[in-house]
Amino acid sequence: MHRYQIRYLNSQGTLMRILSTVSRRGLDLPYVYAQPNGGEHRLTLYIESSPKMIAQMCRDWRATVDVLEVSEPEEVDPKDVPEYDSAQTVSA
Amino acid sequence: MPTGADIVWACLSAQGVDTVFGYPGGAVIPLYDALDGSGIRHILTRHEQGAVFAAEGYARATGKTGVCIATSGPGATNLITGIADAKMDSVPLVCITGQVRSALIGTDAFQEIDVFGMTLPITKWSRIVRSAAEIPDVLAKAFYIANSGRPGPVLIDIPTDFLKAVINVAVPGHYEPPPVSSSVNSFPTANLLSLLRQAQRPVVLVGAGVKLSGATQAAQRLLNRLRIPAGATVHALGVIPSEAPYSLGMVGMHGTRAANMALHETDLLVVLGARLDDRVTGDPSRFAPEARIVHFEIDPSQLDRVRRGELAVIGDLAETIPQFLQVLDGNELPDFSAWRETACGESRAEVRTRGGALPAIRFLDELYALMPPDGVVVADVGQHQMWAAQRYRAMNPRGFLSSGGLGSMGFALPAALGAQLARPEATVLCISGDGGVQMNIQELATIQRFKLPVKLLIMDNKYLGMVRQWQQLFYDRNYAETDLSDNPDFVAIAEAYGIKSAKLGIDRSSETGLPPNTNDVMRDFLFSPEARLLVFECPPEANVFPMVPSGAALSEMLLEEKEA
Repeated sequence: MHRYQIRYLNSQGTLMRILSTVSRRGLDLPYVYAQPNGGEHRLTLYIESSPKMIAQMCRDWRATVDVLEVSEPEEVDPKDVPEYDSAQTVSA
Repeated sequence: MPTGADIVWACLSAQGVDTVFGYPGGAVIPLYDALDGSGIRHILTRHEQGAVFAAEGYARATGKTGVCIATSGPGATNLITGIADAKMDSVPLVCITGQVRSALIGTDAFQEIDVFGMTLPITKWSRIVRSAAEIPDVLAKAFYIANSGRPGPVLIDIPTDFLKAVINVAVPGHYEPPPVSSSVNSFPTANLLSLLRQAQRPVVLVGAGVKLSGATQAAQRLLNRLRIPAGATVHALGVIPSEAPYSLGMVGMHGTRAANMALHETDLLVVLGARLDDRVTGDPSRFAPEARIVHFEIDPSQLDRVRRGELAVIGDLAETIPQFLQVLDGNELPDFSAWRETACGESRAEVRTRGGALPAIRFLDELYALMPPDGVVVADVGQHQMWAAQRYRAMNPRGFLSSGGLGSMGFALPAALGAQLARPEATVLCISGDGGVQMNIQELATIQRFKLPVKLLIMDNKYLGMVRQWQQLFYDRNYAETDLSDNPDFVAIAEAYGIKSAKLGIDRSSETGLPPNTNDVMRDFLFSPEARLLVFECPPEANVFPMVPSGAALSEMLLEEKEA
């Protein structure tokens, strides 16, 4: 499991383009969290994928209009995928 | 006071647009109502797919951004294949769709469809316009994005009430692109020289990026300086002089034996603006197995896609190829002449004739010999496309247009009319199969309405030929649903549109397989000032060789069919 963090401008469709980069590969999206961050947005994704797909997706995201930065993916233990937290949702 | 529709036309005009392709419908009536007096020529196609392919042909022939217009709902969905085609082949397009009134969006109103959502994965950028006032800035951004970096399609969806709204807004709009870091200071001179000096069997692979960047002449200077074997993808035909001693011809599934063998044997592959898709690489895991790869590319997302490269040179080829040339100035390279003679020599030429395909190949050779060098060939998708590509020799980087990445049958006829409008002085030869031509044959009406002298060649083998070839070679000749022996009379169809037509068949008594009047018929066809159709009846079971079977390595290409 890998965690990805993506900074992007919240223009029409940018989030969906980021997500369809994942879905077109038939991958599940067990965790998606997007929040405003100043004048931009920050997206956190957890995805189970192969090293080849990781590299492909990062390249595709970086080529997406209005994506500002794609951080290097971090390997995480699947049990560390955050649970749904209504308090976090409200506070964000 | 102008309306939103007036603003759209004014913005298009400000972008230098002189021709658009489209098809009216309810949601775009206001746009068409404002067309008169805009100074922009509208080409009414007979299907929205014809409009988007025609816009592609216009863009591919010139490098300018093509523009097409469709109404909401089915008009918009009919654009989708063309938009995907443009995305795959990096064609700059601005597609404008009408949408239902803004208040009705999301209510499943008549002819409402979420074309924005449908096209997200196949557009470079898109926008649902949210007010008439933002039209100028949205269009400014659309044109910038469509034709910057790696070109591609954008879609602008405009609710019909914004087209009707009266608005006072400045034209043209403004878009400030984000700053781009220059590659000038980061050219990897030492690494590149080191790799070249270590190489024993270097090869250059030229892709469409060279012509898209306007770097054809720089690339030719580079190849003349390097003088190492060089092959081209189907979209880069016309960049490498075919008579050059380093020319390998076309690479890939139906590429030349020389090109594919060189790619398999190379120990250093220099890629100039090619994305290395599977039709070029064959089995990616066995592509250029001994090669270190140097990849010149404008779009970082195309790097390391099939194989990890040794060195990436990111940037516009119009900048990076001249930098490469500067590196070579004053720096000696090893003598690659022995390798060049091996890779490009006679021993690597196709050694056998091509059986049933010979008449088709000879026919194309004879026709190409009559084509002016600045003519434009627009090929559809299938066997005829590959024969047309294999035999293309002209030095014209925008002279061979085809749907490569998506492989869209029905592309050629509307794309040819778009190319003809872009290049009115040029001979435009549209080569289609009997299957593909029937997918957009209604565009003969567009050709006739605008008196476009497009020359349409149908290579009629009464099959979906490429599928049939695969069925023959890999599915025990189970020709399931590929028989088109009940084709209509294409000559009669064209005549019904008012287009003069002729037909040629195989002459088995002739040494070439072609009838003795072939050259006369070709001249009449090609040199007419009007549109013409020529039907060439091909042998039904002729095949395209060489062929790299799907999933095979390039070195495993089939050179001829096995005897039955």
